[in-house]
Amino acid sequence: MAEEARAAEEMQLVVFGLGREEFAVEVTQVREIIRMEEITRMPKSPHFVEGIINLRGQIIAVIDLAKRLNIPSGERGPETRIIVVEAGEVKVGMIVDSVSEVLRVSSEAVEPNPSLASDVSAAFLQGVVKHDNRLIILLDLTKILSLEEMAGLGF
Amino acid sequence: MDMDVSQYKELFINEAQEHLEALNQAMVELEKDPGNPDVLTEIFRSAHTLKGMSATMGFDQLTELTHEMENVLDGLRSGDIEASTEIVDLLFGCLDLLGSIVAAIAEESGRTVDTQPVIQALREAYGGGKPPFEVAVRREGPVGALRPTITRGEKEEEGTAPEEKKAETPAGKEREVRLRVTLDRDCALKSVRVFMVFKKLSRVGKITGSQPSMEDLEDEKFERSFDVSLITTESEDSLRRDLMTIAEVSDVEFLAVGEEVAPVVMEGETREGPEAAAPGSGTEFDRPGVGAPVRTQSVRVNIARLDNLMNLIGELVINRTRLQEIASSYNIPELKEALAQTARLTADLQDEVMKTRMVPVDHVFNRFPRMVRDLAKSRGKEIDFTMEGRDIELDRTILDEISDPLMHLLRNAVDHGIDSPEEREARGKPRRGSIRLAARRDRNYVSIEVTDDGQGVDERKVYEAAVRAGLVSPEEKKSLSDEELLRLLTTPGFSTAQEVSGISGRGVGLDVVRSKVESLGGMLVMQTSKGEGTTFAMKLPLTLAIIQALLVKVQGETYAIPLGTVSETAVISSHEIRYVSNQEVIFLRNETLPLLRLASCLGLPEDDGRGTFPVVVVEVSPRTVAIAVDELLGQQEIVITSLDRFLKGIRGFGGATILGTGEVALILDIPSLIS
Repeated sequence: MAEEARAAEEMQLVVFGLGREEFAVEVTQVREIIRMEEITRMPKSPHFVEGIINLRGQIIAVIDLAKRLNIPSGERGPETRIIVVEAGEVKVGMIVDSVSEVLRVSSEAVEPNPSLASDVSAAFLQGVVKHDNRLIILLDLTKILSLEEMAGLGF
Repeated sequence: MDMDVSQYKELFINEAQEHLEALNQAMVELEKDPGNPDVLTEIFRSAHTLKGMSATMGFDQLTELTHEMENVLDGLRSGDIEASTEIVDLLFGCLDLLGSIVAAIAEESGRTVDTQPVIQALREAYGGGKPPFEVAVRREGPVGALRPTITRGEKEEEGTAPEEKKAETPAGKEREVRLRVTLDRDCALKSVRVFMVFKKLSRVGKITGSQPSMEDLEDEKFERSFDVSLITTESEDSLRRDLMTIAEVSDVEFLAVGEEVAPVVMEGETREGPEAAAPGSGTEFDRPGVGAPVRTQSVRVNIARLDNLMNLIGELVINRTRLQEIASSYNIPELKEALAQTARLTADLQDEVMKTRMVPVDHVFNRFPRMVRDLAKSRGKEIDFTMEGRDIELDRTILDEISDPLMHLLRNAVDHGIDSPEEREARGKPRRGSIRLAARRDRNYVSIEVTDDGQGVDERKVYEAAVRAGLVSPEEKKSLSDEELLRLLTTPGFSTAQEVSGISGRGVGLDVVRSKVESLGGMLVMQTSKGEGTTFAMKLPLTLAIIQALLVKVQGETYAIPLGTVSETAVISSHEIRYVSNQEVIFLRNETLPLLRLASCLGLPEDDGRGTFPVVVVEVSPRTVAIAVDELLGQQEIVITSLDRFLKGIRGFGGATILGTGEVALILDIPSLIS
């Protein structure tokens, strides 16, 4: 990533919980955070595509992030949120257990090649952020929403 | 000033392409009817405007080339040059070159185009010895980059009011000046001129305001003149000199500071407002036989804006439906009444917006005469090409989409439909073949037809080829209907087979044409009769965004089926289902229809226990199928929202729609769902 090359820059991360871990995406990629709503099932789509929703007249896909990352998720409840992100040319909603905060960290705090194991495949990781004894996994959205990945899934 | 030059480039490219299309079209006319003064005038006018525009934007190659072309055109008009085949070909070549220069500008590729050979040829054509450069300039008025070479004296001669004596204010001190800039009457790309004026002025001072506003100026919401206030140290003389170097600025006046918008009478001057200020510049363009160009009251709007407007109206329609549902569930008569009114208004609004998106098919048609002419020439065929219904309108998006398929059909007609003049004569037909391109409005769709009077599709050969390709078993019946022929011709594997296209003369890429037309919610139809000719017709919906759909329910999920494809609905009992080679079929009005269960198509569990169920009979050319659903919810107008790129790859859906309840329903794309 370009961030590595530059001197310590401040990054803002949207931190959310999913299953047993804490994850984050860069705030610049987040369009909005909405509550769970009725989702229309999309037949013939990959298993992690939950369906489609109407986002003020725009139809967007919603994915079950836990299924996408192949990790267990918590139960859906009042804390469940859909984080609408935009990466590349796609805009997608991701279901997460809860959204906790927006964190400012120095780009130096992101360790690009974490030796620490997570349940999540390294392919989806942009790095790991260590912050106040917490380990926050920074996701690489372009990978998660990659169309090539989708193609591999029989699209 | 945050104006962007590239914005004008786009405008320039659009207009340049329009002029080139007009030129091509007129040139084809000219070839048919050499010496027609009206056609020549039209060619001249377009070429001239193109030259002016190019000069303004500083595209010297274009300017030079159009200039040379004008000289030849001038010779044609005066009768010095004859409209021979060589000259017409030369001019066509010149247009192609102009087109590729414009394309190079559009691509920003820095690709260079060598214009010298054509320029040489053009010069030879008009007897290049004498340089008619100056002459042309004088006669046609100041043009583009040539402007700086025109002296004040010449301007006087042309009738523009002299201005020299009026610049008295000394330079040096910083002060506010207010000036009025008047553009030539025929000025193309007014906003570009505005931009250049502002750019020049902002270099020598600080612009404090304008009348009309910057925004209106950018949108060309002004007649010929506009006012600018500026804080500067420059003298009026040098400001004027500076501005007059901009092409098609016909006049610069200085107004007393503090004067408002109204046309001002300068002290000691009997001059009237800016409109009357430069009568001379209007007559500059009065060439013999050229009337004043007819100005239409129109504004260029970015198509994205219209799409947006369309979306908003779609939302409005959805909300209206929703309100109506609320009104009926609470039974409030006043609300219902008010809503009925709203319904009428939204319908009108929708109608109006639809109309703004409608474009005459001529936008696409106009380049075909040239294309057919060139093709026919290169194939050694003689073809009369006629067009009908050029003013029929279609939604812009649809029109853009069908341009390539249409070109394909025409190319097929020239290549394979029409036989060579010798073959035609041998068959007792006139040497010249005819191809007709016609647009027709038919209730809710527009039909665009390409008809040729060639030898028709050879049924037997198509059949034989189909047997060889394994598409038809030899035992099957040997007589094929037009529909079956088309189905074979548009089968992807079949149509690309080289020997087939050679024999049948059809097919190459026809599958692409068909799928394009179908993706637009339309239909491709063919009629052919041996020895007499073939007609391909594309039946297209008038508009795209809003469609009538049949809403159905299956396993609790709601789906929309575009009504255009639905031929009827019926209720079937399960004991009426029969099996033909393991496929469920039903009998309806003496027809055997394959039965498709929507639930299983969509990966839903099936509910077998039911005695009766509704079916939707859908015509997917050339097949007709019955689709079993759980419930018919009724017919409704829906707004198509396209699916995000993320989901585009999933086949079977033509988009989604938001229902009155706010629920999202997928729109089924039957052809891709069943294929």
